Amino acid sequence: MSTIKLESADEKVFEVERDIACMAVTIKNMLEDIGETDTAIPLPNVTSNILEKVLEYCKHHKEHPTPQQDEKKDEKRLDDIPPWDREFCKVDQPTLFELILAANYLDIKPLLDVTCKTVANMIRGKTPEEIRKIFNIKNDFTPEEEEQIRKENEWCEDKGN
Amino acid sequence: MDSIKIVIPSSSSSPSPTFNNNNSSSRDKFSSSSSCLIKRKHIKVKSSTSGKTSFVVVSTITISILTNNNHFSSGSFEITFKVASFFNKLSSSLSEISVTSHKKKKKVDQQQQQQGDLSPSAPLSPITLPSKKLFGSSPKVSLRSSASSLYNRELISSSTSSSTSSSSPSNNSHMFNNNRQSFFRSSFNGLRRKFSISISGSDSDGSTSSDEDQGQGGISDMFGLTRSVSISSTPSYDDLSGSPLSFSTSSSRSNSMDEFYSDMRSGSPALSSANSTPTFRSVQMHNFYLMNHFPEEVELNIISRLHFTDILSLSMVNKHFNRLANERTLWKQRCQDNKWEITNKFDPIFDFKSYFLEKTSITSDNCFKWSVPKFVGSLPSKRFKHTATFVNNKIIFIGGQESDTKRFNEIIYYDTETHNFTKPIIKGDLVPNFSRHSASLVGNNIYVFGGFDGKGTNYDLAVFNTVTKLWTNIPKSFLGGQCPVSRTNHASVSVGHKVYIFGGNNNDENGRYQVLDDLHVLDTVTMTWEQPEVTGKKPCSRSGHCMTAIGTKLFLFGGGIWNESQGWTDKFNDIHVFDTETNHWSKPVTTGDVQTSTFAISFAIGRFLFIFGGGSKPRHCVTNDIYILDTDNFNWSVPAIEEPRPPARDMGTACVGNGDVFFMGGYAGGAIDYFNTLKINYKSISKLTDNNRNQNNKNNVLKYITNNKESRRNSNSNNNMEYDFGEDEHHSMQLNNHHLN
Repeated sequence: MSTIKLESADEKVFEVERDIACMAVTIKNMLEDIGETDTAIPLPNVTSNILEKVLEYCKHHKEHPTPQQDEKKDEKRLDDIPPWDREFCKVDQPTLFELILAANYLDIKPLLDVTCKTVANMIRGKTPEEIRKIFNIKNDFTPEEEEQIRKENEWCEDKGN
Repeated sequence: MDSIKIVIPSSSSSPSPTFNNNNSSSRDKFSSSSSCLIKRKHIKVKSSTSGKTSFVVVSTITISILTNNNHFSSGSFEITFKVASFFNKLSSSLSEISVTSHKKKKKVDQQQQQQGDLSPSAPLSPITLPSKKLFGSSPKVSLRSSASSLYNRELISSSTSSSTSSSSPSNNSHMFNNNRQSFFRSSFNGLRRKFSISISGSDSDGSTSSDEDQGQGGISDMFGLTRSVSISSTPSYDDLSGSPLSFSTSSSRSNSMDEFYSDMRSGSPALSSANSTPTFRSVQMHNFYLMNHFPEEVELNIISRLHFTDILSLSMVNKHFNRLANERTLWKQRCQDNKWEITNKFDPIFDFKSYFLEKTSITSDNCFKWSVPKFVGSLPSKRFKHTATFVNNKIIFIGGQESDTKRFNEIIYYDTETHNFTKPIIKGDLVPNFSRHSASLVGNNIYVFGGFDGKGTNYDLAVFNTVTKLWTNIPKSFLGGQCPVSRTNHASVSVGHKVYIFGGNNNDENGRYQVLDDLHVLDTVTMTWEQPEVTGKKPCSRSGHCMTAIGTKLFLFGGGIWNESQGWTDKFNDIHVFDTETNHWSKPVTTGDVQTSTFAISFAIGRFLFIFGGGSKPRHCVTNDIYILDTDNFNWSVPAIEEPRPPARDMGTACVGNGDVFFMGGYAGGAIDYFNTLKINYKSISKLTDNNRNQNNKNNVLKYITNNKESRRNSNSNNNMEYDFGEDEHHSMQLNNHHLN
């Protein structure tokens, strides 16, 4: 099994199996583009600890391929995160968000899916105020705007807020 | 400007990183001890790249470290500048300036200054740019240790300008390319030399701002998600006091640190483990991006996974999320997921969010609830083929019949707020004992057309002013154009100031019964009848149909062809649409089943056409089903409404008002006096009834003004002839005078 080297933003070099690294479409495309190389591929947007997590994910899913879910509806469901992935996403918010950025950047769709689902789960069932608190978002509405939007969004009689 | 000062105890025996700092003020300040001054600056830069407005958030972190002896004794020092940026497709790149220096003591390079002096107007393109300088000689450029905001601005401009100036001659010329491969190749080369600067831009809302406060304000949302700052092994900001590093924050804003997330990690664990005490081996700093500054596609990815109620909550969080949560494609996708396709797929302004919410509501099993409304006063007696018109929170019932011979001249008011039935005294002409007429509201006036008294008299046009309670029979001579023949069992509806009348039946000159297929329009401003030139396939002749306006379109449903000997020979459950703007008839293809046809009761709520009761299409009975036609995709559906439902009927009335629908009377083997309401439990539907009303009121006002103008004009031109359905009690006499004239 051929291996390639990846260099994180903080210049740590990871040697990984080519197949595992190629789960990242970005890396795959790049390897196709430049062909065989011994030099480490720089990933200036990914720090070593995040890259380590990403590679851990890729490795696990290479070894335990998840059954293909080609039904589009399943993608929308939030409660279908496999147990291993759920554990994997039990990280602090900064790490989780960096994972999302890394997954987006490296184009690893399953990882992006699972991390985005995790964030979506954090939002689920929350009031606007709770969402602001969780993600530390500043409310930049004027009271009038807020009232206006609240009115616009009223759709159900028994919805209190 | 936020500054974090990290003071390394001077007793430290470990190798301390040192820089020569030409910013003497800070040196003076801290010269007695080893210290690290970290300054951060956030600048928003707006630029235009290939027609797009780009927005770059640049966080510049300036670190100056001073020690007693002003030079490095050993060790390595690493700073990672994260240049925050978003660039739509290429990468969500957090680009970095990575500077590593080993045992060096250098002045700030002069060349760099030169670069800094270059014009900042160079385009900020999504580029990866190893600065020529940084590339050329790595040990030369160590750190730029100026804290001035001017400098920081220069830093950016130098980056950009150096990119434009240096990239083409260098072998890194690919880096302007927006493709990923060259991005990698170039940054690869760059990193090989240990230095790279990359800046990329994205089209997020941006304003030029190098003003510090503004920059911080803009960024404040991005940070503070996590307030932990870790230095070496110290995991959290709060713990820092106990750490060997003393850490002090000097800031003009007390919570400014909260607004930033900076992550200082030990970049090279090997080194930090090798040296124990104040392990200030390397400092790596990240600016952390909060969720709302993810690349937009990532944010939408997350939002698209949310339940729509969560999307609504999210839209109330702040402006940014409001914009994202109202993203049209997001709701379009939702509608598609539910197979709620619309007929006009390419409608560029269709509001999918409203559509989704309305459809969600209307398909809920508790959207509607039948109930019996409370009322004061006496319920109108049993009747059918009366009319009901909603105006100013009141429902006005006109005429009707209990049997062939017993017909009513009553006008009954039901106040939907006080729930009071009243029979006000009607002024003006005598209201005939009639039924099977039509009534359409324009302004405060109800235009009543047709009807039959059961004894041989047919009626033409009458106007009832709902405010002054004045009934006026309009003589044909007063009206312009060709008056339609009097008729019964026709349908009428008003759009704007025009009243449309279609079909029905009457007896021709020879007394032969006939069913009609003609469309007439009464312009209530000019009081002129017109038979418009229509295009498209008009409905066949029919009576007992219903016609309802939604927007500027008329929806004609059902009806049939009846004769005395055979009864119903034809029953229709089709929909025809008449566009009042183009005078075009169309017969849309509908899906779903609707099993009612004649003398059904119709009403509209927003885009939805409701049909209740009526004569069953396949069988021979009256029904009590409700069918809903979605006029955006012409799909018939049956709402789930908890039983019991009101008894079956046809020839009754339904009136939408104040968020409820009021049903009165009808026929079920005989006249009935049932009074029912259909309650709407969902705001997204019930507020549509408010919209109707508001629109109506708007029309009313407009109408009122034009009417008044018109009547005044009339009175001027006709010498005291007043045609006002309002106060003048002698108008009919005057009309007659006019006629004589």
